[in-house]
Amino acid sequence: MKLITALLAIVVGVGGIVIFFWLLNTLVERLLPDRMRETARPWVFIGPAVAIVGLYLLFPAIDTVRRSFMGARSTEFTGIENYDYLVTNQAIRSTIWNNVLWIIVVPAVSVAIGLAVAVLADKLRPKWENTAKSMIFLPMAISFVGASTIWGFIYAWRAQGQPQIGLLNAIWTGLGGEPIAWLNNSSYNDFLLMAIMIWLQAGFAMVLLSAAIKSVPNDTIEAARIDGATEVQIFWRVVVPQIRSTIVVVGTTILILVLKVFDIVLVMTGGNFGTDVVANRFITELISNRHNGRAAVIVVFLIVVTIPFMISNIRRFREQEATR
Amino acid sequence: MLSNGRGMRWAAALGMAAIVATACGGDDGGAGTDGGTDGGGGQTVTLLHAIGGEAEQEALQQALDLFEQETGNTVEAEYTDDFATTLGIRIDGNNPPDVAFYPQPGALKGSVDSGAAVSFDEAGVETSDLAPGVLEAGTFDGTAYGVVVKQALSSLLWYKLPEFEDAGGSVPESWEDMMSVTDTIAGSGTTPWCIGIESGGATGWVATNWIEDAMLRLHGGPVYDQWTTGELAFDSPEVREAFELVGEIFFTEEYVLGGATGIINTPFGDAAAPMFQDPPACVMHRQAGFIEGNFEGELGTDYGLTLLPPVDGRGGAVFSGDLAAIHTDNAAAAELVSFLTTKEAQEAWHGHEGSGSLSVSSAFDSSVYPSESLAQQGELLAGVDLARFDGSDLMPSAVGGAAFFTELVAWLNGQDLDTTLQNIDAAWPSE
Repeated sequence: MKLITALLAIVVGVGGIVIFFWLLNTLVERLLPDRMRETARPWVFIGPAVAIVGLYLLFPAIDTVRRSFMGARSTEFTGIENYDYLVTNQAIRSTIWNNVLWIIVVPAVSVAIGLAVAVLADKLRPKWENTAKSMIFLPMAISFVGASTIWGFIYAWRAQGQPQIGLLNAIWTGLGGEPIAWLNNSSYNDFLLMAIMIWLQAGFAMVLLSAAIKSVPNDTIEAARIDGATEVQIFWRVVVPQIRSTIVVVGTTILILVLKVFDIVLVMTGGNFGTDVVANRFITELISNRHNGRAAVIVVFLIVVTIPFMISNIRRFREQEATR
Repeated sequence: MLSNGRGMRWAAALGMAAIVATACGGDDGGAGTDGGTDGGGGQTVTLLHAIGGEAEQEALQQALDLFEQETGNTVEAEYTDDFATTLGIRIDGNNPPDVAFYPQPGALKGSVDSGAAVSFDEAGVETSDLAPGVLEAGTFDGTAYGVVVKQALSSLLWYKLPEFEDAGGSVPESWEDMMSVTDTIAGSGTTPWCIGIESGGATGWVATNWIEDAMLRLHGGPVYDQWTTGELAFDSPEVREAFELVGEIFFTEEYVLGGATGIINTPFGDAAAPMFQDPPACVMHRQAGFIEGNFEGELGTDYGLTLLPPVDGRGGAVFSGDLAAIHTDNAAAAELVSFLTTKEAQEAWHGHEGSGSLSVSSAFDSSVYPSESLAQQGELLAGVDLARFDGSDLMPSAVGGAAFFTELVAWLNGQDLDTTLQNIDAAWPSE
């Protein structure tokens, strides 16, 4: 019975939408005078989608901002108390600092690796180029939680004398050292977690940058070669300036993703040992602490921080489209 | 293409037929949440629980089937592995389950405060003879809202035979005894304890059980209750004493396999595995009954079991379990909860082959348990007058589900005790 219901749901869902738009189109044709028809038609088609997005995105966003000014159960107005908490609480400040580290390191390193692979693979024969690129791109197919589980087995620790199931410790003890609890050391465990994200995102950076590199007009490179430039000079002075906007777009896309990261931290350390990030803190506040106000203020913070990057991203994208 | 009249007419007809069929077919799955108010059989009770594992669910089903047979009502049981979130969504969405098995009394208190839970008096629940602490765990401000229907004994000390005795150990009669046994074994060249508290996002909960055992034994029931309700702060001499008692084992490098680093990084499920290596890397382990599923060999031959010993003559048991509570005015829901506390239901449930939990009925016959180990645990539990629910589950989740865990981990990773205790206190919700 459930299977039939599911199938019917699909038929009704898809068929219903088709019929809905067909009806709207007919209404536009039948009811509106000629002049208005063509201006109205795009609105009629975009309208329902915009309305739904408005309802499911805008409304909760505004409600979240409202809740950020209220108490734990969203019953009383508390003014800027939650914002104050965000700024003064020591744990949250170190969390925000962790996010800053993530924002600085991950996009930069992902783009660097992606660019390096794109450039180097470009010089290979096509078959090898595709193999190399596929291997770098493969991790993108893995979910964050899946990747965290995999890397868990790289960083795993077992007591001295016990069989080492973690790759790093297996190598380390094989070389004669005592097993190190990599993720417990707060001076570098952030970077170990970032490595996971870089592993996931470098492929994405590589694909986009590779396309950008290939679209650099060959004449410019030839001209530089004739003028006597070395390959390295060609790369930095001819190629990179021409793909600058792609680099920025890739960088900001990864950056926006980095701001959302929580699953890696949750699975690997649970936020312990000084690795907590803001998005993970949101979950702690909402589900463990059941404090709607503080959870909301964290979300508002994330939105506010993301907005400038989104704006810049969209601007760059428009520029790119305009020059096509 | 769109104005092809005939094609569109067919499409419209098909669409209408599909809509009508869906509307009619949809009724089947929707029943169950609008239970009537008159009892007497034929009612459906919806049950939300977090009891995982095939064997455990089968055992639960025995009790539910018995209920259905005896009363003619139907039970629709739903399992969730994220109880807090699922229940929260159901309650907020005005679609609460009739009965829910809360894994934590703290969560039940949340439902009581928000008005989602119905008191036993109001619902008309009648409980049968129960073991100590079982009804108290679900009683808030003198009114009963929940009762433990399935429990697990947490304060168990497992030891490896014969290596434990070979290394100079003997079943400890007191905590002091246990410490000197620890020392003797360490002196003989074997590491005495295996402790592991890693558990993903919940890392630290095993250590909280150690602290609770210490609190109960050092200071008794009333002080324990003050502690779990927030009247007694963590940064107090009593709690400090408990931390220091436990710290004597945790922080002495030779006492624990891997030292404090080992404690933090070893997953709780794997922690006892070194006991069964050849030769065993450790011989003592404190953990609730479920860990036996990871053991090799037989009780009595390869490993032994006893209760964590008393301190200065005061013994106690920390248990955990699931509390049954009611959210709606469905009369059959109250019938189900009352039924589940009877000796009959408890025996069908916890006596079932493959079940690993203990009964809460004081009339329960320990020989009914499916395994020797459970029978022994049942006897140990019956011999104890002082029993309390797991403290971190009694506290509000901001503390018992978050700060208590994370601060313990930080403490084991080198943070000083003062900061640890103060941080936990700071996390206590102020309302």
